[in-house]
Amino acid sequence: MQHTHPGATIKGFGLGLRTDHYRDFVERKPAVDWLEIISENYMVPGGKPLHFLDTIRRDYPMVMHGVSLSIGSTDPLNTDYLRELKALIARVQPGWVSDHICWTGVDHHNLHDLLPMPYTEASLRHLVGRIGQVQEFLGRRILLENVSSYVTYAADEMAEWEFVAELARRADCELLFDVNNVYVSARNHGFDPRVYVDAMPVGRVRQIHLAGHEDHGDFVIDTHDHPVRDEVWELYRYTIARMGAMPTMIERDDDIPPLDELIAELAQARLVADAALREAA
Amino acid sequence: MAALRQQQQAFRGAVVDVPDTTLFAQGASDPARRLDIYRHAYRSRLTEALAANYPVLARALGDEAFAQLALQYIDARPSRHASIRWFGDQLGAFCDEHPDALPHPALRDLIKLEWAICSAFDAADAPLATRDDLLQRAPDAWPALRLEFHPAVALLELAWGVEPIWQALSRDMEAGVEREVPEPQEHAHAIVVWRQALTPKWRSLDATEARCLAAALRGDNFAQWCDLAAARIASADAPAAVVGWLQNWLADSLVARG
Repeated sequence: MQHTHPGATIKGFGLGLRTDHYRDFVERKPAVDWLEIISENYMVPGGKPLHFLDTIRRDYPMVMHGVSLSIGSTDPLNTDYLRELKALIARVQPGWVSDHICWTGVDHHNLHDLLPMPYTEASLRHLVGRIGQVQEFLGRRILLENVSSYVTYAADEMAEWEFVAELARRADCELLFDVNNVYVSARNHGFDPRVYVDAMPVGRVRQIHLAGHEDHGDFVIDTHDHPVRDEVWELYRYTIARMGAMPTMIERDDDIPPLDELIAELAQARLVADAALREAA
Repeated sequence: MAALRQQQQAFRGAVVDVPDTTLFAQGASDPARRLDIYRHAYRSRLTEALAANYPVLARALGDEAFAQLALQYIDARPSRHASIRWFGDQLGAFCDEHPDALPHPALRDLIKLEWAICSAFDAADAPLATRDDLLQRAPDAWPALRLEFHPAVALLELAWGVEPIWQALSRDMEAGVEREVPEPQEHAHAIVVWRQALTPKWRSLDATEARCLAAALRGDNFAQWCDLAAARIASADAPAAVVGWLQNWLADSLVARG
């Protein structure tokens, strides 16, 4: 099937739209290239969330990022969710729509967590079929993001990066490459994160996520409540040097600072990316 | 898919029930400690979501007692919704079945009030009726008048006067005013919850106004509201009283354009 690519206008550096910053975006209209929304926050009947969404959308390009597709679950795809998602897409006209390579529940019990898949051929086949159904229903390619993880399955048959690259190829979907998640999983499972970056099919990566994490020494937790750490900036530099310029956003979901602090952090992303591009040239 | 399904069921069980790690690779790390990250995250995320929907209840109970209630609820009523926004929709029903889960029966009414406020927050939008819309009606069309209400409107029957608790733990606390939480009093009455512009509001109702509003919400007409009012106040005064309430409902953004 033909998939549309309305994301051509999304370039540069974005932030996640959070309620704490609604007033800033409405009143000051600070210079941020684009905003990413959490789809579920706006999959509500009406009121304040949709009011601010519509108002801010007039001034900023947006992309949509979901946490509840549960593309890897063995439960049937949630058609009510997909219909609501499609309605929100029609409202927002986003550059693209993303979710995660994960499952969030089974037997209709939603754990509301982004749980890792076993990296097996069976998982690949399962995901490829479901991604196909979702892309067909939405009439567009979706982006899927690598998640951070704390455990691996005894049944794993391949490395996560092999799994992700093969998934994107077979499912004909695109990737949201989360640099912090790669770093977190690399620390937790003891692999070289650069091997992961090197394995990514560059032509399929459309967006990058950066975020902060919590370092516990022998393991690392993906918390999104800190600034981006130096090790992640370094991996971002490596990623841009390999992949080239890539729309990048910083995710902050907890201990949300004033908007200007995040804009300053975004300026740092711009500097790191510029340096990486010069270095790669 | 059968294997994948079993893996997911085992993972779910390891997070929610018994921390069994046989599913996981026994690498350099200790899988039991790693599994604990998921187990802890599961309960803390849902507890946080519940507190976001019931902020005043969380303050009234205090962190420890609220966490206890949340854990009971999380185990008894696993989330069935795609979005975590709706987690807690059955907290009231759960507490009806397990009254011991709450230290005071008045908190059951607080749950009712908070869920209505939280539902009003993002209920569907609807154009509002104005006073002028109604004034355009011919006098002989008034008895048959029926109203459409804004989707955010909810009429609650409460057994306890929970408004002072809500006031002390919400508005006053946000304004930085520290006040002792008043002991709730038994007081059967009704509260209407709605949304004005973008903000949920509520107010308690006089018993007769509450009956008329309940009638209007279920689709009875103006003449029927007047009959209801006349059964409780002097019948000559009933139409004027009903018109007064109707004006309040319009001014408060309760009535949608039909």
